[in-house]
Amino acid sequence: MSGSDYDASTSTFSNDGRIFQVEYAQKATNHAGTSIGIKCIDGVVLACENFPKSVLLVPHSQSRVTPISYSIGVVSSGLNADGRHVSNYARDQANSYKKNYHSDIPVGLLADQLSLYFQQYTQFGSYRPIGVSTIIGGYDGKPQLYSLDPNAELYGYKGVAIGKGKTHARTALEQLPFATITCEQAVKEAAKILYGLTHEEERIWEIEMGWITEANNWVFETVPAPILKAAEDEAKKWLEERDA
Amino acid sequence: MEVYSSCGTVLGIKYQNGVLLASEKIINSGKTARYFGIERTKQISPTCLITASGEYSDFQEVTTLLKERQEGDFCHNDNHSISPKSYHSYATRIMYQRRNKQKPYTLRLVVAGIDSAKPFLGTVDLYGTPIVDHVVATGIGEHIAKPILIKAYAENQNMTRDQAEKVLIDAMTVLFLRDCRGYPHLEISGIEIDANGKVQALESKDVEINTKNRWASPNSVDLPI
Repeated sequence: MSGSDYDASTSTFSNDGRIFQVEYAQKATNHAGTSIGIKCIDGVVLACENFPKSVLLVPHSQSRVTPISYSIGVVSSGLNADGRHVSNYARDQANSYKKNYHSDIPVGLLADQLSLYFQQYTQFGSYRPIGVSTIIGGYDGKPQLYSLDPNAELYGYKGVAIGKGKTHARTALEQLPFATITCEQAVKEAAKILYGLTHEEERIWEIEMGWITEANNWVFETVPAPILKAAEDEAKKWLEERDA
Repeated sequence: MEVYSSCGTVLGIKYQNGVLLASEKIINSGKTARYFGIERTKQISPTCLITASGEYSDFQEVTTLLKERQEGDFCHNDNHSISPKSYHSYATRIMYQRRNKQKPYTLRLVVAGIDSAKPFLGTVDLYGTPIVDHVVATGIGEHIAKPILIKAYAENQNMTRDQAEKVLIDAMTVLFLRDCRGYPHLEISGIEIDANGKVQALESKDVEINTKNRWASPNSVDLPI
């Protein structure tokens, strides 16, 4: 994709009807660490792979899977700082809804509000598009899962992946039994999918997962370390067998 | 600054591994008994309870503010939570700020919880004055019931929960027999830490004051004073 004269601003279409800055923003997310969302019968699992910039960093000190309210979490792939800005905005929206209506914001409404917010950044000249794709998972009577791209397109999913491994991950997700899958199983599947992605030799990376489960009263929590470790061990074994 | 729906006395006392609170389950409008069976101990965090006497709507507002703070803290997801001491301080800031706007919340807030594995009990009044103590009484209870609590606590600083509950009910009985807006149905609630260090709010309990054959004279009833 070459930019020509129309690639510096979101305020002008190109001759063939494209807004290049929005497409470039999508590209930025396609180069970032993969994130996965899986909707299960008893909750939602959000997972991602992080690439610590240095061995000096404390393991798991950078976090992309973040809670928005008690029952909603998001994970973003792209520019991490943009991701934090998005989750901050989402928290403000969730909080404002709760203040007004004394109940939790429906996940679909929050996703919609985020989508409108993303859209503004694709339209006004002085803005650049938001450089993240975001997966929104939560519970509002039933498990919900949405994914939002920099071009402000919002879709609901059973399973979704964003980031650089998304093509491979989406193919793998298509194999999952969404009618019966539980969160415990989904954690293992997510670990397998992330381990199954190609990683450069010697590059440090780590998995991070959060979930909203019936077992934890539909409250978001980081997947407890023992469960995550068990899933990672299983994924490593599976990978060895696959590659053998 | 008129109080329209006022909640009566709250009593609180620390015991060996927790804090116990007692409140009358009624809201009055002036001298009229207005709403019955109201439970006004709210849990705002895993380790912290609040309750209050004074305007009920103000209490609901402050509860909302503190719960909002708790949800914000939850969103940090950093294995750290705001302690009851901190909530007491935060509540004090809220109350003091409103007092300086000449729009005080007409409340006497009580903050109870487990802080660093120890019971914590504090109050804030409508001027934003924080007080931390082993026993707490609000409203008219400050004059009538608090001496009973102070005496009981001085005699035994390591009460069991049952002993603490008895002290609270005794004090509430004395209060009920004197307070024209008193109500014999109490909510007993609390929070405690067990031997494993697990903090848990107690299920709130409905207790009815036994008023049979009792008169307003302290000599005619078998009570601490």
